Amino acid sequence: MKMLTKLIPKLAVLICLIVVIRPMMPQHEAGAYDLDTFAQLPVSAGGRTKPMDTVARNNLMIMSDRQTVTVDDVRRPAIWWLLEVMAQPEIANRYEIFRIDHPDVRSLIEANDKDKKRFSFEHLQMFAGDLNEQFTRVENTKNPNRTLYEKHIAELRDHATIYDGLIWKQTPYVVPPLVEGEAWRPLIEEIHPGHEGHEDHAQPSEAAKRFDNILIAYQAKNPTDFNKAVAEYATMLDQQMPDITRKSRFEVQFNKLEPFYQGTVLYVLAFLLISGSLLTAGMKSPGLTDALSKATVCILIFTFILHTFGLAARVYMQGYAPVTNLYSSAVFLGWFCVGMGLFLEWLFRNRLGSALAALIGFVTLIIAHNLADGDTMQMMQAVLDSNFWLSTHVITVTIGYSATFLAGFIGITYIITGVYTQGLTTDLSKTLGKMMYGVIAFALLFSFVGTVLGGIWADQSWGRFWGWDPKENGAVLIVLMNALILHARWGGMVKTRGMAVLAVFGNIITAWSWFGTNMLGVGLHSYGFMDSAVLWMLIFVVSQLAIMSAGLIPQSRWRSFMS
Amino acid sequence: MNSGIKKALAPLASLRLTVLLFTLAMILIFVGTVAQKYEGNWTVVDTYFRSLWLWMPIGIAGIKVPFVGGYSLCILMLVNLLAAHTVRFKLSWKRAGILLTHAGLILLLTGELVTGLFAVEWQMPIDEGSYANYAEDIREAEFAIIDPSPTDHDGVVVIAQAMLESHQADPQTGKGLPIIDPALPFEVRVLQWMPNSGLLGLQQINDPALTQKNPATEGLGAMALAVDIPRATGVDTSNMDAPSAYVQLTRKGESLGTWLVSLHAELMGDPRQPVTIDDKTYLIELRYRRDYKPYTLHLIDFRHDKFVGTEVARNFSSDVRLVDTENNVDRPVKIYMNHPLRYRGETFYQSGFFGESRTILQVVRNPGWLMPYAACALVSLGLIVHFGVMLKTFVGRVRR
Repeated sequence: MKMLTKLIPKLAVLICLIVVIRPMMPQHEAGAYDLDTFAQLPVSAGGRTKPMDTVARNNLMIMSDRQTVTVDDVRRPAIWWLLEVMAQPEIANRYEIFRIDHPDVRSLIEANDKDKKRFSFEHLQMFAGDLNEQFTRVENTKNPNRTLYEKHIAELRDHATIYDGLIWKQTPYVVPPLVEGEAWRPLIEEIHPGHEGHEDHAQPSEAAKRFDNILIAYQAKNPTDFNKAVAEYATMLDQQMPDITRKSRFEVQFNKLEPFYQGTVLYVLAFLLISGSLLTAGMKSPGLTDALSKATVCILIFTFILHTFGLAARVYMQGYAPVTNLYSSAVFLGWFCVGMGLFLEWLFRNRLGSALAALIGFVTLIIAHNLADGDTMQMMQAVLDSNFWLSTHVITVTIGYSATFLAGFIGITYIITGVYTQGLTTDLSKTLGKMMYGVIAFALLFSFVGTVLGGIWADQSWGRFWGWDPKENGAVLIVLMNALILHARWGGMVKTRGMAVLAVFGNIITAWSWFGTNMLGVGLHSYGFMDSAVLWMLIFVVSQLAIMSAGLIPQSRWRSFMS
Repeated sequence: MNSGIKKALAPLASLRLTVLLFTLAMILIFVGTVAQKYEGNWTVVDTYFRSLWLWMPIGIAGIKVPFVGGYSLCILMLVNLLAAHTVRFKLSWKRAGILLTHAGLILLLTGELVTGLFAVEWQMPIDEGSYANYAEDIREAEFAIIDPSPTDHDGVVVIAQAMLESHQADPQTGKGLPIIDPALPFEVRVLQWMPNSGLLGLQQINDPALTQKNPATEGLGAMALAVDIPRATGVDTSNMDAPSAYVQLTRKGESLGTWLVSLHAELMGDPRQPVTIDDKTYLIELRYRRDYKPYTLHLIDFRHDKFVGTEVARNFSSDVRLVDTENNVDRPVKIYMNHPLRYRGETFYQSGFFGESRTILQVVRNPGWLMPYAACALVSLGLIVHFGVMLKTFVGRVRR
């Protein structure tokens, strides 16, 4: 038994290493074609220079909700699919990549097989007449008023448009600016199949010709030529735009590592271990309890480093401060909560910090995963394009959100432990009270400073310090909520229990400010949103209200206080 | 401090009041946010936040309840805060942070009040290669009568919107006072003033009853009819009021003709209508109220870049030359996003553009613009001191 308990933390570290190293290993059978080098070629899409690999993954993810494609029962990487689409669309059109879920849309394309979720472009083409009519019809209804069916139709139309852009080589922009004054441009602008030598068309650039040769070699099923063409092209770019190719190669590695996906897995593992540790606490086997808690901390520190690396890598690749959209705010919020959780663990050594870190880390990364749609590293529109303000206002506000959530989760812990278990001793109650108080004070500082910095940014960019924009109002609600809790505590109106209930209400306020205000669809901050999120938001609010009402049950009825 | 005063102030200084005010503020802000889904931003701001009280909808069957407005809450919070510090004033390290924070909050709240009362926003459109020496108030119009005969300048008589409104003829009797200016050889009678209007081409109107009512006899009014429409809501500048008016020019009570003047004409780029009296031609127009500056801004180049292959704006920028002969200033300035020009108490922001070569600058005069900066610094410092002191004792206690 002792041996085993000693081994647990070491095992945990081993698992971490395996999780990180495994994806870096070649996953797909190395074929005759050098797809790895092709994947690293830099292109421009959505205004950002990125590797072909990212374009392939993002587009496939958008259309198919997956990063791989299955053809003839063989799973193929996204980059293989993109190459097929660009080089031989007539074959790639048969690959089933359009995910269609809505029953009415499915019946429109006669999708009778219930188990089949994805359809080929060829299949869609058979119903081109009906689909095009629906596509035009949906134009007449603008977004907030669209029915679910119309939204799915519009989505399918968008996906078809993206696909069209790929087969006609309008996107991504593959021809690099190698001469001063040039910009990235699409291949179709220089290579016109069937129109070679046409007087209207200027001579294609060297880069365009070379890129086209890659596709021709692939189409001709000639791996030797393909590999040679890719290698030559890559070497040329390496010489002429070394910074861009270096970044591009880095991004491919980042894509392979998927630090946030691995992080999610590890946070789950950490949470399971710490739950085990908490459960065994009463079982008189302190060795096991300690070993499990030690293993959790090991995993958490490791994952925190991985999470930090992921954020830093995004900053390097994108050239912006870490928070630029809802997706990255979720990743950052989680990261900060994990950091604070680890700090609380170091301070109190009661396993609670670890448990919260693991839980919030996991939940926020799941939220982030669901918020990701296409490239999560979009360019910032002019008014928001300021690294100074992104890294001051946005970061501080997000830290304020994080801390408010953390306080809320401590509140939940207090209520659940007190009401449903006998674990809420006087000591624990005191500790939780201190934790909550400290975290709320911290949250007040950051949410206030962040909100005011936002005002100053607004004053700098359009001369209005405060515009009562929904997002601004949301931020000020968080400030007021935290201030309210602290003043109520100072005035003796609430004690630890009241603070816990209020802190849980803080969760609702923060969720509203983070997501709810975006659901209103008004104001300068309403950057993009998904409908299913409204449902999740409601579920969250109801769950928090339920916990609050549990917390309002007279304490004499709480299990911890009954005996 | 007199203990009697302290006793009297005690209820005002209570933390219970603070918590109550915070709660009310949260409700007000929440409802005021949701209301923006249904009403224009400015309407909401005026009803909810810049008001003493309001009828607040509770979201059920259109029932409304009276509720405190933003100004009242702001004042009550200030009273609560000042009372609390009067009653409990004590100088110590433990209180220093709180004092600083609250001083910052007072500054922040007064700053917002100053902004709400004194800040003005104007627009300054400039065409490439041209210059502007005035800004326009797009929420107010004025009627201008221009005498272009002097060779070196234009003689201009301006009638403010308020004057047009107050001299409007009674719709029933048709009677109203004329506007008389010694510089003009005629009087101006306002037959009808429309705060927001739509313009209909006379040829497109099939209803003879409507065309017969057309009061205009000259110029634009002979081709189009202006109709009263409800005033615009919302903060969007593309959705702003376009007032029109029917004005009759008279001499010694005798009509010289009736003209339709409209902001629509201004927006279409052909605002001035000629009026010839005794062989002398005047130009009349209804335009946005102008505020002339003692300096000029020349637009050298306007740029509007997008990210490669997208419709996402990468930047807008205006290269301008600022010329102020009074102060011997003549220098190039680049105005772009997040980089306004501050000059003589006014701030110029890159706000929008029209076509490829006209920039629109937002001009703001806000005497309180520095207050939030100072407030932010004070509050941050205060919170850091307060929680820093707290954290020190806290960590010290836990670690021991």
